[in-house]
Amino acid sequence: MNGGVFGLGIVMAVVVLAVSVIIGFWGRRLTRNLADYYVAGRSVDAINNGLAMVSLSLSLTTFLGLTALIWFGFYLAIAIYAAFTAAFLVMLVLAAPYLRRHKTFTSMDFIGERFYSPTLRIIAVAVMLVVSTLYMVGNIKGVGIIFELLLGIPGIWGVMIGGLVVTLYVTIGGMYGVTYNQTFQSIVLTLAFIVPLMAILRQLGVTGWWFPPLGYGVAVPDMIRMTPHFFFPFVVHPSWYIAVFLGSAFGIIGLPHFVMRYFTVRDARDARWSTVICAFLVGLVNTSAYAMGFAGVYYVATRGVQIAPVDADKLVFILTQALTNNWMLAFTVAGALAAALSTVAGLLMIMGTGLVHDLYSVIRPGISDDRKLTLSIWTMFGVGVVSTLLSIRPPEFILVTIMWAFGIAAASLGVPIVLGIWWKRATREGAATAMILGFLASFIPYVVIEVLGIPATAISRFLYGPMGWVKLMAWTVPLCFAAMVVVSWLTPAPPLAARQQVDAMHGWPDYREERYQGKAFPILVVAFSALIALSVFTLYGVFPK
Amino acid sequence: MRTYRKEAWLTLICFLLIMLFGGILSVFFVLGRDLFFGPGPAFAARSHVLGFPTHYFLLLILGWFGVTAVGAVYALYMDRLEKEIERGGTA
Repeated sequence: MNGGVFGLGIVMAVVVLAVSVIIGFWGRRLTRNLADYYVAGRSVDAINNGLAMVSLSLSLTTFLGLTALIWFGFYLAIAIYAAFTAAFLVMLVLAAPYLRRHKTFTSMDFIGERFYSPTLRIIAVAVMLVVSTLYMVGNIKGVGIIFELLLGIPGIWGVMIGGLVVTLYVTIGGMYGVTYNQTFQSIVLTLAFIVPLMAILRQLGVTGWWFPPLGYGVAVPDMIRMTPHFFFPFVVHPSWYIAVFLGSAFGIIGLPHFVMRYFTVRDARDARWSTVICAFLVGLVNTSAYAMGFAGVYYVATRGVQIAPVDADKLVFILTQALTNNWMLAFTVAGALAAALSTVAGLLMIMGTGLVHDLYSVIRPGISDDRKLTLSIWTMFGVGVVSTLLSIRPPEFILVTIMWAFGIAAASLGVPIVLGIWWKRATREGAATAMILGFLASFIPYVVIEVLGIPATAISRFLYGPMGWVKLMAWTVPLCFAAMVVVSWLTPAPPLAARQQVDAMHGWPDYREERYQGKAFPILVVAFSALIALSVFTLYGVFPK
Repeated sequence: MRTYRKEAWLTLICFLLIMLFGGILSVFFVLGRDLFFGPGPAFAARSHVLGFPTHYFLLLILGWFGVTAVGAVYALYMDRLEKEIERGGTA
């Protein structure tokens, strides 16, 4: 941590990496066919899937990004993560059980089938590759940071080692290996975050240290005195919060590595309960992360310690080292590593599956399952190596990149998935419009703002303020909903086979034309979308810029 | 009520509750700043629950327990409704 080798941390990291590889080999023994490799034979129960989703969701951003965001954004960071926790429940009520009944392997597969279009399936693969890469590079970069802290050497070695280990166990174990690894990793990361946090809060004199999510109230008066704006929700326009919610809720539905977990469970009931379990545990860790962010700001304010802005991502490790012992620090390192590996594994899985199952199979129909399985293994290996190389020069703050991934996925994939489930009249042309419009309207601003470094206000003066670009999601998501509804109305109705899929996804044993066809739903969607999009331009009388 | 309408209403109500608890809540804090908190930066010290400013406490609790409870109620109800749907329901 101070530039030297941290032996205990290395031991813990090696244990996590070794157990992950062993579970990968064990997963290999359970894998007999393509369905086993892609979706663990659709045999995962609610508890296992819920735990696997926890570690998939709580990526390294929980250890590195979130506390840095709280450091800079205070209340805003907490609002972002409250929306992220709630997003799982949106996925529960709008998508999860229905996607499970669809019996496909991936979101791209679903889009291709529901919108009767192999072309849309290929476009969905392209979008998936972009959002998954954005999501992945931040996480692999985080592995580099961990190794840098351990060994005091450039993080490139951490990126290489972490990237190759996760590639190895995903390639070997397929979805069985990924699922049981994620279950193991979620237990490790939850304990590794909360137990050291208890010790940190205790050292800071917080009497409620034994329950971090709600235990630091006693330190609030001091915080208000020293950093009064910590609890300020007023520094952004109200539409910012709406945008964060839309981006999180539809982003999670649009991010194929989250959705893929639902194709692994036994039935729709398991899909529902695994989400409830996941939301509870994600909420527990997230509310603890707020406490960690609070502790960081409080520590600096009360002890007069200086932490450089570039070190904000390392706040968890800095606090753990300063206020606890080496065992706790080593445990935290293990948790962070587990968090990174689990998320990267999920991303590798969807990228490999997408390339072979949704791209190659469409271009070369008739390919045998055995050949597909072999190709999948090699593709996942190739994707792992390429992603590792891409992560050598990652963006500065990892959470910001992931938020962009959410925004792009929300508009371009989340919208067609939700309307495809809930509205029979949703057509191929409508879905194509939403996907292309959503992608361009989100990805171009990403390039302009993050890659070219042009301020968001240059795109629109309404995108001012802290993380002002987030408000883009209050335009892109409603715009895609409205565009998809309007274009679907203007184009010929979907074929019967596509309409039948909607009834089947909802569990009906028969087909009836009148279900999920009412006019109220599309009218409500367009009206609601218009209201939300307009909110960005209004309310300046109530809330001056 | 027809089964499929029950499903639609349950979904709509749960979605709106989750939207409120998971993010839109803060919109009301911002819009109702003077109404809820009164003028001036000392608002956070005026109303507390477990030591936290009330609005912050609400965000913590509703953004975690609140949304999870909505999800659990939805899952319980859908377990029952699903049986009705699988039997063919009423349209």
